[in-house]
Amino acid sequence: MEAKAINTTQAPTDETLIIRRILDGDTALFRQLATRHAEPVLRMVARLVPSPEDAEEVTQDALLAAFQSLARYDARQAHFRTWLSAIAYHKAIVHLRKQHTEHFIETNPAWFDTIPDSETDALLSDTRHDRLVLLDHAVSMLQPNDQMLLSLYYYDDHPISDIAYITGRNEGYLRSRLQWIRKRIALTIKTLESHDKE
Amino acid sequence: MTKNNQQQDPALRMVMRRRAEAAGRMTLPEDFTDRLMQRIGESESAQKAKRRLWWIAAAACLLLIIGIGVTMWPREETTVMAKMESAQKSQTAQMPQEKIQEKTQTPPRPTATPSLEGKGGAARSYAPQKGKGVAAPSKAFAQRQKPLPDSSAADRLNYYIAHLEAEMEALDDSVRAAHVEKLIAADVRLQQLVNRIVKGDLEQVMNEMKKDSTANYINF
Repeated sequence: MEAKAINTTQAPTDETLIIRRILDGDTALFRQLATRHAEPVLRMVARLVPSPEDAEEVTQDALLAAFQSLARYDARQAHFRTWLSAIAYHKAIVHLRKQHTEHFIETNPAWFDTIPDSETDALLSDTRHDRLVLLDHAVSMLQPNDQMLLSLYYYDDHPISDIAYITGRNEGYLRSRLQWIRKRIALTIKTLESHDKE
Repeated sequence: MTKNNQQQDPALRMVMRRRAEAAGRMTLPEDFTDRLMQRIGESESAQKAKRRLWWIAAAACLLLIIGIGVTMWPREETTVMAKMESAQKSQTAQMPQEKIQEKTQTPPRPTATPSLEGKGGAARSYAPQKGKGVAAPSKAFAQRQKPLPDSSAADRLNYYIAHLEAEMEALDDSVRAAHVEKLIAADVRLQQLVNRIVKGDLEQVMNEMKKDSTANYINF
């Protein structure tokens, strides 16, 4: 999984040298970095931006922004790919905000606090096909940044600290948000199920 | 929630993996990197042009500030000139009193001769000339009597010198230098005249002395 590649402590040291040479004026070397990281960035962006053309454009914007702000990259704070992922994340969110159309279903807010944690855990652990369909539907109803948060946490297996760096949010907020998202998904599933019964 | 604070939620994980895999089937076109490097080149030249413009604008602002500073800076000359003028004005203010006393003590001043008047006349020549930077003489001078028609040139000279003094007080800076030059030239001529007269007188005296000595010699 690419998540493990990102989190490896054995970050390629040649990248730091390449970056130094790029900053010294050898801009053509950026092609090496782009070739290495463009595909993973595209796959991350595509989770939020389903259109291939849009995803490609956002990926290119992210790489261009990375080149323009290369002087600000600090290897002590994060790996280059994590830093690049942060840029790509923000570019994707901005792109989606321009185009995102809200299509939430109305959920009864009174239910929110009435769903116990155990019920939430059960709903999110049920791997039956029909439940997975409802779950997928509930996830697509979330805001783009919440979907990305789930993707980084559940698919990339990033620790909260890495996600905090990528998203620019603090860890406490992210933990609370994840809990809120889980309850929101559970509530949406219950609402959808109640609509189906009607 | 699990003890290690990492949510298991297998169903949610499966959904997220499916979504990621669907997204991961996307691939980049072959010319993606070429197009990216082209955009990078364009953005670099645009940034260089912007930086050049900023430097030019900064230099232009600096020149403008220096230019404004130079033109607005008060010059020492004008400051000194202003002080001199104010000193002269304060002296002139005392002049009417002195000149009135002179009038009572000295004989009446000769008025302008017909010939002078015919040539433009004292009154006319000293009328303020519009647009030439020469302002009217002071009020004190206007009260003075004009030279008498039968007065001598030497007497009229004193009158004209007094008029000049008053006139110079009221001159604009733009014509003052030209007037000063004229005065200097007139002064040179006057000095030459005096030299000639004195020389002539001396020569005459010398000749007379020579005649006397020769006559004495003959008689002896």
